Amino acid sequence: MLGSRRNSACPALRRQRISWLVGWSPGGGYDTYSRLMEAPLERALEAEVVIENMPGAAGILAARRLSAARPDGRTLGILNGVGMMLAPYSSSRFAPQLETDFTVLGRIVANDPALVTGPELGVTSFEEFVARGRQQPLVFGATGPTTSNVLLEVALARMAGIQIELVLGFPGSQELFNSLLRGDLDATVVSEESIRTMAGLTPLLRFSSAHGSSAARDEEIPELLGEDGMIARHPELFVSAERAAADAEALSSLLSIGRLVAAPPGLPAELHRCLEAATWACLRDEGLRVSVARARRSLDPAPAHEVLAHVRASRHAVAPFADIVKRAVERANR
Amino acid sequence: MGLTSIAEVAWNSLLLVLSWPNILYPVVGTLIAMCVAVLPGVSGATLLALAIPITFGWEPLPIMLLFGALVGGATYMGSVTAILLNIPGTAPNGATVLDGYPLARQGKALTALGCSATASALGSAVGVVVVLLSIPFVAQLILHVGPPEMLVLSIWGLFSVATVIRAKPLRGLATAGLGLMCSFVGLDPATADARYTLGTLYLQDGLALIPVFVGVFAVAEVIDLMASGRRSIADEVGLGGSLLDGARAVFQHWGLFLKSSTIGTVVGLVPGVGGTVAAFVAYGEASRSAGSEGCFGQGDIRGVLAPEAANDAKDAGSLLPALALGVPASAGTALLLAALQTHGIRPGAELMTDGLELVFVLIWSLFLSNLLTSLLGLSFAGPLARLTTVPVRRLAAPILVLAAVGAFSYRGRMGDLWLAFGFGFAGFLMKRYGWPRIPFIIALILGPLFEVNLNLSLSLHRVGRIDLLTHPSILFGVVLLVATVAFPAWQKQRRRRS
Repeated sequence: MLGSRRNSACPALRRQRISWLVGWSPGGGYDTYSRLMEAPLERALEAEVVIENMPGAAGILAARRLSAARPDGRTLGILNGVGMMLAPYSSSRFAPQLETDFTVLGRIVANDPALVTGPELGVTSFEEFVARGRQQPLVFGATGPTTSNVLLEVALARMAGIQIELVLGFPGSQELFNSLLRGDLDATVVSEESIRTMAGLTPLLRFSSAHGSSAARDEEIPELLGEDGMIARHPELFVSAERAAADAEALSSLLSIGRLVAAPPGLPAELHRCLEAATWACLRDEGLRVSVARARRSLDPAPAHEVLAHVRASRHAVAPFADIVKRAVERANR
Repeated sequence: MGLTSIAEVAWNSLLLVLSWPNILYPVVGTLIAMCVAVLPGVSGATLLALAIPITFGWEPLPIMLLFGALVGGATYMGSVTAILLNIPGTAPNGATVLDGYPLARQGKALTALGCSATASALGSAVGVVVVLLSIPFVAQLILHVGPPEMLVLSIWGLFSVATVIRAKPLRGLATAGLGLMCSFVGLDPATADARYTLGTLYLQDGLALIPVFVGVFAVAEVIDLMASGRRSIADEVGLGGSLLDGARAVFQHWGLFLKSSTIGTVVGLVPGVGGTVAAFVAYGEASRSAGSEGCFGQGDIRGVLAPEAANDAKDAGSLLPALALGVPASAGTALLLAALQTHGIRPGAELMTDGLELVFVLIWSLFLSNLLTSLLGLSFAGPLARLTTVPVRRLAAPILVLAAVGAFSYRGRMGDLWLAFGFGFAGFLMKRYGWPRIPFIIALILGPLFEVNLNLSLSLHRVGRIDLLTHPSILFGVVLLVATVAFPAWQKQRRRRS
């Protein structure tokens, strides 16, 4: 791979060893995307890319290490953009800031999470779900208190006026799915791609990102936003359709940040330019597109400047939810 | 799908694995894994991570063949360094250390190696048989295991601490408590609050098991060997014992072997619980059932047999949750899932029916690899066992280097190196002043499993989804725990009377 005839996008990195940090365990979405990108990135940079899984603290540990690494281009990583936007509102004082503590190089894919229920709840549509939630509290599960699924669950409860109880601390999404199938939980919010790995769950609603990936979308799952979206078609399902639309727009903008390729802050200008170009070339690589499709995942690349525009637009979108998330988490941990 | 059809698919898959050139993949994969896995910290998972980019263009069949071999081949070599040098190659080998190394110190390294190889190979075979029988209802079985069941399993495992601290109960309880406290270092799984992190980012991820094991056992032992003035590991007795004695021990204790293999397979089936828990739960159960007749922790061959059988039996079991539900049971199966997903192979019902042949190819490859490593291990055991007669002054530096490599290569963090040496010094002091290390290790391993599932069980109780006082698994667990404690006491009383 290192003997490619193509010129390296970054001569300074040619034949160098680049550490690619992944803040989650092997086998999950972030790890899969990283491994799929390994070969095209090696081709673009004519360098050796070594993936390092560094799970812990919902990706914050790896993010911290990436943020603190030397800005020499030899440490790159994959970040959960939404998670990084939420992290400052968490109790962790170690959480780095997306805008100041990293150099964003591009987006791999935008998040398109969906609300799912298990067979025990016995509802097949969002309308039934809301009706049930207004009669009795529904039990939602999540992995941790500062994850995007908690934000979406709490926000949805506020929009639709349903009562929810949170159960936090599941080790991963598959354990959440098992709990849904057993009937321990009523619902959860997870990425649409994760849902495809598990039979027996009913997806009810999709929180689409403003520029979400369409390639692998299941068109049968109703959208929250848009002309044919749930808010437009069934305003009666929401406490205030106007407010719900505003909240959904904010969430959509936030979800557009997606899964990012990032480097430490303070890259020299020339290195920054060439790494951004190499990342963009890698994300538009035909081989990557084919392998992502074969892995039944989506690809929705965006250049760094576009991602940063989403980050700026979403900066104020999180704050209004921070308080209700905090209260819900405190109640869950009482 | 009925058992007959499953058996037919299993047989066809075996023929496929044994056919030329397919057989090359498990053989070459096993040899590579064995050579590389001599380095502590290099597990099957590490090898899988390295292999994924190489296999991008491959077809699913050779991928399954190679990956099964890489997972199986790396397991046994971790036991060799555990027995001979007190260095657990992977976390599950931490249980083999407890009696394997004392046996080596008594000059019975060959016996321990023979027992380990035989128990591994046969344990793997039991795992394959149990898996074959459980495929028709595996999905249902796995789905019935939730937080309360995992909580019971972890408490049962923690109870085994009581059986290994008979000699010094108060000190044992104190070190077990310390182990539990150490297991809580890091972020709270439910609130994300930092605990015992001393304000550092490094400790937010908790204490890494491999560096702690390497420290408490290997580094502590080197310091102790040098401080005690022993000439070699098997100083006083020289090299005795035989491979045959070790192999025979497995058949002499066939009941324990079957029990440990079953524990391994069942624990392997439970998503999210890896070989480490399987090995330590089997060790604890072996120690408990031996009662006062055992000399666990001081070189009891059953202390090698039980974890080795459980650790290899769990391999086949741990594949099922990964392949049937997409729930990885260990780092190895997580990477296997990653590799399969990059090739478009999705876990789930489709794979367990239409793709069952591929599943069995993986299981057979794993089994062949376990068999091959055991056979090769037995043939190299003689020369390897001579390591225990090498003078300490020549052995100390290589062991420390190997320990350092093991601690560092686990995650590539310098902090892990300091952690290993810190725990090495603490382990030496514990050994020197008679504070048992085994309860500390058992509690450290089972602590996170206990905490996460206690938290989830209480939360589900709070929201009314389970009733902890009437939940069948909890009631069964209480009966199991009472029986675990009361039965040996009742036996003891009966023996006294008679």
